[in-house]
Amino acid sequence: MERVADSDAALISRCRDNDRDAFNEIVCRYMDRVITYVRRMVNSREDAEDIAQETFVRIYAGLRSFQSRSSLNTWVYRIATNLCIDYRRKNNRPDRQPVPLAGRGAQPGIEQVRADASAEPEARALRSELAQALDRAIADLPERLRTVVVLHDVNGLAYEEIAAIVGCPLGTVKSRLFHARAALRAALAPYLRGEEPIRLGNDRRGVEQ
Amino acid sequence: MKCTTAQQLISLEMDDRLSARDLVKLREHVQGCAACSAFAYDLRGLAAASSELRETLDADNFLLSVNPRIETGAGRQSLLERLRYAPRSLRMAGLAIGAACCVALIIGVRVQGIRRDRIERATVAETLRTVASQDIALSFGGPLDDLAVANLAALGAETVRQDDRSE
Repeated sequence: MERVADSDAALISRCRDNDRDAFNEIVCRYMDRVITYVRRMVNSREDAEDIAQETFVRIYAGLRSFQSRSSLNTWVYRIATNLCIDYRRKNNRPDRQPVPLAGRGAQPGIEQVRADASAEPEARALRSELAQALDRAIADLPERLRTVVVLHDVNGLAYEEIAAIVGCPLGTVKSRLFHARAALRAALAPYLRGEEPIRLGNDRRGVEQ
Repeated sequence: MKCTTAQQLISLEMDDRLSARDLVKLREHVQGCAACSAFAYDLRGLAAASSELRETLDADNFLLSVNPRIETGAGRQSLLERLRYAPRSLRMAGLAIGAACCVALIIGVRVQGIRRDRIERATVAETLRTVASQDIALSFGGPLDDLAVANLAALGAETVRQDDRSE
């Protein structure tokens, strides 16, 4: 019979009883979110993996003293955020060298990617190209905007969780997210034609994922 | 509604954070505004593309890297780091205790200063009294009686009080 996944609280409780499998389950549950976030906050894949590993080492060390007032999710991201800050202080250099978007004008827009969805391999290639351009545009954002947009738009965290991780008011999260999105839109203007009329409140995700 | 306001609301609307009233106003604006309509469309496209940036790790390899680091205690934290990753309530309590200690220290130093001032003044008054009694005794050519000494002591104390007032 398939085992039902334990909740975070149950896993923490098992970890406190020195159950290493429970800790490994926490690692498996959070590692992709952590690497996705950290990779966009530091300048290399190798350093990002190192920070992601260190995040879980810190989590293991702190699990006994972890009080479940905040969620495990928030706590994991906070540790990762602090490690990224430490990393940048140690290295004292900009996060990434801005990479120019090659051949901007010739790239197809998102809507074209949608229209060509039936042409699977080509559409996948176009989507991948757009994702790469977006990745570079995110890397060029100031850190405070990048943190919020990665946590929300990429990792799917709620405003309240981001406010707890970053340590700022909810209004600041909303404002930073708006500015980050506006900056990304400006950076990816050649990819985004924005011609189709849109109906707000319905069809919330106008572009299928 | 201005376009800047509308575009902020569009960002909120994407995350279902807009009240029904604001949504109606926004719809009215967007229907008649090509720039804001394009903004809304582009933001949705960006949101869809953003979700494709999620990365994955090989769980087995990652665990093989993490577990030895735990065994060797690579993540052992200093007291300062422990405090940094401690829960907010604990950090706030530490901050409050630190602030209370600072205030107590300041008050202690101030009280000590006042006490030292008083002792110095008392010593000065006592010295004045002794010197005055000796001077007067010399001028009278003999020792003073108790009443004369008491009067001189009162005179000394009054002088110190006047000094306090003038300060």
